Amino acid sequence: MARSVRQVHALIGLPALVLAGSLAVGSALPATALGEEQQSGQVVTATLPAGVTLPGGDYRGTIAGPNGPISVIFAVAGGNAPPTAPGTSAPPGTSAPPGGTAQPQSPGQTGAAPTAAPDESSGISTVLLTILATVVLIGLGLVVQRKILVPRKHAQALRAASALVAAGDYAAAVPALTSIENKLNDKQRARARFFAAFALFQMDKLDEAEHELSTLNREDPNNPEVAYLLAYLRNERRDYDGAEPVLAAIVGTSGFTRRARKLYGAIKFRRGMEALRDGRVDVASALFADVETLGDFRDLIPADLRNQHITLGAQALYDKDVVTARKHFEDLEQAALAAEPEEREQMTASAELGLALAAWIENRSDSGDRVDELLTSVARRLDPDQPTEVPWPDTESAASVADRLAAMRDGASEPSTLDRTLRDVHLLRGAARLRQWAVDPKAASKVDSRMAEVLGRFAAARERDPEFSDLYLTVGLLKYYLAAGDGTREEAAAILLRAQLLGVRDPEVLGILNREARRSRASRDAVDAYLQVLDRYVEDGSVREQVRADLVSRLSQYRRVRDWDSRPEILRVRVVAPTVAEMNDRSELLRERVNQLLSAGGSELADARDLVRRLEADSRQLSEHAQSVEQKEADLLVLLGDRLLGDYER
Amino acid sequence: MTSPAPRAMTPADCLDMLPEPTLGDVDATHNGDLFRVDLRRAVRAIAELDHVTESALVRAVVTAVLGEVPESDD
Repeated sequence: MARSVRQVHALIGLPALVLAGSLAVGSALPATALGEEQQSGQVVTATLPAGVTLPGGDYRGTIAGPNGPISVIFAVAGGNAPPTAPGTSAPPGTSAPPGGTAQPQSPGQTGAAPTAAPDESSGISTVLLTILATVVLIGLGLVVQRKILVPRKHAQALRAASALVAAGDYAAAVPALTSIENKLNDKQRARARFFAAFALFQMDKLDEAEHELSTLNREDPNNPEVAYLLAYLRNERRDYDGAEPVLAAIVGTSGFTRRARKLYGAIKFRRGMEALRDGRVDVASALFADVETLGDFRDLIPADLRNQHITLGAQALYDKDVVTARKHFEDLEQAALAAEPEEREQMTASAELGLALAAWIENRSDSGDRVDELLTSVARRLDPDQPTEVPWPDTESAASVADRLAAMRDGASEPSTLDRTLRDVHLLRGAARLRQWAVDPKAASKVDSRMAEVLGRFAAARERDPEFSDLYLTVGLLKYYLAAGDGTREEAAAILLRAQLLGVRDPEVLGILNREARRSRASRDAVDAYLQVLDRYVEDGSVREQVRADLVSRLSQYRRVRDWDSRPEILRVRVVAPTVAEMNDRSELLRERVNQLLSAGGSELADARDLVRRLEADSRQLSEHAQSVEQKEADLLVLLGDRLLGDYER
Repeated sequence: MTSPAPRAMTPADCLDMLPEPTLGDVDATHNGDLFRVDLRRAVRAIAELDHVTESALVRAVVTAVLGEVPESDD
């Protein structure tokens, strides 16, 4: 702005100087005497001596010209000066030609000696100067109009239109800016176009906005605001490839502000992700390195993505290219030697993790030990204070769905990155031991110690993430199939139930859980049926009171039966001596119900089945003995009848 | 004394009206693309450990120990 002001001053300065000169000449005119030949265009200037003045009026005089004396009339403007006495000579140095005399002349006198010669060119100069001054004045006015007043008016229009942008009235701003655009100077026009593009962007007219911004950017690729807005727009449109070079052009300039740097980082980050999606891991790695340098989104980059050895090694592992993967991780191991201690541990841990995965994929006969050894080292490097094996808990607290929902409500969060890593490390250790066990020709030996080895690793993983379903699935299945008895199997089922609650939908697990549920339901039904049988038995008056009381006493260790010994009906029931048939009927009914209960039970009820068989045998014997008794009674009666009745009737 | 005229809006003022660039939809915790080659997050994916392979590992062990996987007694 200062520069333009200086230019205007310079423009004004020149004509002003000319005008000043012109006015100076003009001011001398009253002291100029015109000769008689004024009409011929000649003007003669006479200079009076210092201190001499002439009153206004005409004076006659004679000038000694080269061709003889010339009669002239001096016209003195104004009237406040006394006329010079006739005969007064013009002082030396007047404009009178050499040899000429100037005769002061009273008004109306003629023949006075002239003090100046008439000069026509002097009048012409005056007119020209006047014209020039007028032209200069007009030019100056035009300059002021064109350079100051009109631009000021346009600047005010631009300001008014930009105020609409500031107020968010984008719909009104765009036509206002467009209408004045062509009247503005280059700088103002570029600004108006920027405002219009911004308003279009805000109105979501992205095509029009991008067109305008692209044009502005082509005209001046180093304009930071244009570059930023164009990159911002393209970033919004997910045109990251188009956005990046626009900002790249202003990197290193003063226009590459904190805001531009942040946008540049975001664009690089997204390009890196696109490269990852496309499998261009090396490109992604370089882009994430740039993001790291720019700084704003550094924390969102996983540590491993910052290292090309790890990124490329991981990709090689995905591709099952063990040789390449191993090369990258061995190089990383070497590079770690030169790093600072803390970074060295992290780099070495990543290298060992990569090498362990390579060994796992390779799956050679010695891979199990190698994987376990490397992963154990990884775990120790990442968290030296935690054990790498812990016992699996004896009892499983089966968390209900409600419990889990409550835990989620209470903010049971995802495991940390470290915990997740170590969880997976221990899971892989356990899996490596399982794979080793499965191919061991002596797999059936030392089952308990092998089991403890596997469970210890899975339990270490569980310490890192108690909600990790894979652990409960694996341990539950292993314990279920290798269970030594019903107790262990039930414990395994509880673990599998937790796996199911944590999201496992494995058909095998669901089958096992359904089977266990049926078994549990049948068991519950059997208890109810048994209690009904028992209830009827203790109320049966045909059973001796002592027997019933003793029965209740023997079962009182169970909560469901504990209060039965105080039941009044046991003692209140009238005791009647049962007949053999009644005993047999009672026994048969009991056996039938017991057999129903036994059909739902397991192998552990073999003793009960044996007792039922013996009871049946005893009942049969009782019946046979009763028949025998009856037969013997009849025989006895016959024998006695024969004896007594025979003697009497004889 | 009159108050100074309001300052004319500049392109930089326009940019100030825009939200700061973010990576809002990039969920750093769950983005599979991002963490696919993050070795520490990719252990299970690279080792191909999932419920199916883990069940198969257990069945292989049970087969090696018992000779076969016990069938359901339904």
